[in-house]
Amino acid sequence: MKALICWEYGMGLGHLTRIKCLIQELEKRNVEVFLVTRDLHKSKLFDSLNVKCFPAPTLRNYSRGHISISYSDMLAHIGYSDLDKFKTYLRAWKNIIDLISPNIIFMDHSPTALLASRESGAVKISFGNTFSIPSKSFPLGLYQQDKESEAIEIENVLVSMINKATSEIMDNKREINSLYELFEEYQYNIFCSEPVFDHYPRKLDSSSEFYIGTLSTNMGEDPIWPMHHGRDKKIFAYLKSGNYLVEIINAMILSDASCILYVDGSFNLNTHLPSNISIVKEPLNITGVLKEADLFIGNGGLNTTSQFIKESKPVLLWPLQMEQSLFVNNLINKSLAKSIVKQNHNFILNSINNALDNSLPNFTTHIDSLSSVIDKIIGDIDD
Amino acid sequence: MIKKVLFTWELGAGLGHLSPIYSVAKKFHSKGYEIWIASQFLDNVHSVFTDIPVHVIQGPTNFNTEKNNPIICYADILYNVGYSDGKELTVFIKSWKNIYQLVQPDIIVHDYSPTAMLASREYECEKIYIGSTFSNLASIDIRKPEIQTPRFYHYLKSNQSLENFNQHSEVIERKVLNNINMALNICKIGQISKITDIYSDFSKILYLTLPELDHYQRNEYSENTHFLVSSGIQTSTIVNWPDDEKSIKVFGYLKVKSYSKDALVSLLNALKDKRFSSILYLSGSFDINQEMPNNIKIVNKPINISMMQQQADILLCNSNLNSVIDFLMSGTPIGLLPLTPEQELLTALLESKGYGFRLGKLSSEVIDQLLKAKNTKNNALADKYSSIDFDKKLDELLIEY
Repeated sequence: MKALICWEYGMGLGHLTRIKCLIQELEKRNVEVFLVTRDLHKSKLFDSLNVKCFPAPTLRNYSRGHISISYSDMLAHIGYSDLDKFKTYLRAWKNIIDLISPNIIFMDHSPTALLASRESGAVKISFGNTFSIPSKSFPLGLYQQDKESEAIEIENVLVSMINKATSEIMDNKREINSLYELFEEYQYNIFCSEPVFDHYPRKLDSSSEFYIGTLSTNMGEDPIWPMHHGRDKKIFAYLKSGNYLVEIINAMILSDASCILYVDGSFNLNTHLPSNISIVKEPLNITGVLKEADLFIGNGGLNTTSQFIKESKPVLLWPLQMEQSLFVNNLINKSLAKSIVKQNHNFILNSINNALDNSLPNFTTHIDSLSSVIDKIIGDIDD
Repeated sequence: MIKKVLFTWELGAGLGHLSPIYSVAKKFHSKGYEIWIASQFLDNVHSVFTDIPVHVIQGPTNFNTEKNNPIICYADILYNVGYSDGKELTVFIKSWKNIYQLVQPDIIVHDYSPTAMLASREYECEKIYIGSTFSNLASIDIRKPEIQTPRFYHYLKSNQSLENFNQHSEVIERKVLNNINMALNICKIGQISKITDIYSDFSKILYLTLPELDHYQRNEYSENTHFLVSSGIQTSTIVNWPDDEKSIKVFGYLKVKSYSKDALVSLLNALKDKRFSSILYLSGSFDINQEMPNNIKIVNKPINISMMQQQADILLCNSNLNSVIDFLMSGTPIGLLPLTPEQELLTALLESKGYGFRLGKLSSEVIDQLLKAKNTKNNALADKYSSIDFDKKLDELLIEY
């Protein structure tokens, strides 16, 4: 059996972590695994596995600073609004899927790959966090409630463009009437999340939809906390590079706690750091971090954030994009996190001090395991 | 069984790569081959391949490495595109190998694609190189054994010693060679003894330039090496010259993001003051927030070069090879503003042979230099090559396939 895993959009370790867990589960069952992935260079983290990796055709026309009003608006700004370009990427996905000819396709935030796989006889499964599969609605994934009519217009334009592209490229020229119909191609939805962290309100169909929680795997070194004679607390931060880091770093320094900051992306700090903080450029073993850290500061990526919350450890979040904002607002409404977005170091320092003095309540939820879900799907296919 | 030819394009930017790939692909298509292209950029593929079917796939290119290393030798270029990390390089070689396994090409045509070349070393098929002389190190004359790749001495700073310059180059060259061999070892491909071995595996080398413009001015070439001038892609977009038909006509093809806004505004003001009839194709995004005078037209999409070539008195460009060749064939004086090591080498060569001149910077001084150049038409290359039918030569070179 051949399985193809596609990762087209999104960023960060969350995608890599869950994809690694999925590859391991599939390899255990002697499935030949192919991965078509954005950020191909990061697949060096899979060097112990037999997976065959290819770069993903990914439109990269991000307009920085654009705040999407809906899921369609987000796709339009990625590059879906340019029909010729979109057709080229659709063809590139179709070509690689046809070449691999898989029996199962797992798609992590991969709308173009999903469309391109329309004529593949493979079983199609969404595999990722809840953001990339909005619950059924029109317009799909409305992020700014006061802009519904604008969002409807954008979705209508996008849908007609998708229909035009498929009519030129695919033998199966079936038209869609709304963007959600695209997601109805999935036979199974595996959400690497839990109901409490879902970006959208939704009710699952228990025979084909599953929450399996965030997945973790040891992909880095154990943390080495700075030796420091100040406050007996440890802060772990995992943040995307950017100028905003200066405010957070200053607050971490002033907290007098022992701090580790993992910066994703190139970042040069032209100043000497005091002994209570160390900056690392490679991912750390999150299990080791979770065991010892007292507080997490992040951008609102699902994986690390939810892992800390489940350990009842406080989190402070500075979201950078729509998915993170949606997630962070959801957590704030449930009193599970605090926002520090666009705040100065004094505010952040106060938030750190308050958070370290208060722990979160315990909570438990029932979720399926990845292993049991894969067993069920492969069993269904064999039947 | 339909035969397949796979084109690889990993590094370098612009239509200067896709355009010759298209010319060669068209020949193979007419011979019944299925055309595949694994390209670093997909955006423009279908605007170029308008009249032949092409199977496009995303090519593995490492966009995500830290590019802080200053480029003073060829190895630095490799170092900055993923060869600084043996594990990452392994991923990319493996990925190219995976593509070969899936596509199963009968012929691989490599453009600027060192990693794709390494990955294809033990894939048995015909391998052809097409591209510039800069991006292929076959047969280059490196006399000292400690030197692995060409050094770009024009980047030697006034406060830097030659010894220090060479030491840096040797360190990078050693790292790159070690990382290549580490990756080849993991990928179960035979190791190489020097970096230039990357370019030793071609049945044909088709340099899309003239021997006079070889960036490294090689003393000799292997028997399988040929020089061709690609006819390129002629877009149908024609732009009429602005303002006074009788004034000096300047055609500029310049990459914009490399210049400061001030320098661009300064050039525009100078062209305006001299009343030169000017068409500027500015590639990239720009925002100059000023009204254009009547004598300047700015376009931001490719225009018909043939017409420009026939009518322009002066070309202003970044020393991009294809534009340079096009205008040299009509003897037009060329003002050069090089941005990359490749363009620096070509600029030095053109200057030394009297085919073009380096412009100090993009400013009003440029205009005085252009005025001087207007009367220095150099037809030497045009006289030598204009009667050669390169399209026919390409047919002959591909006749065996």
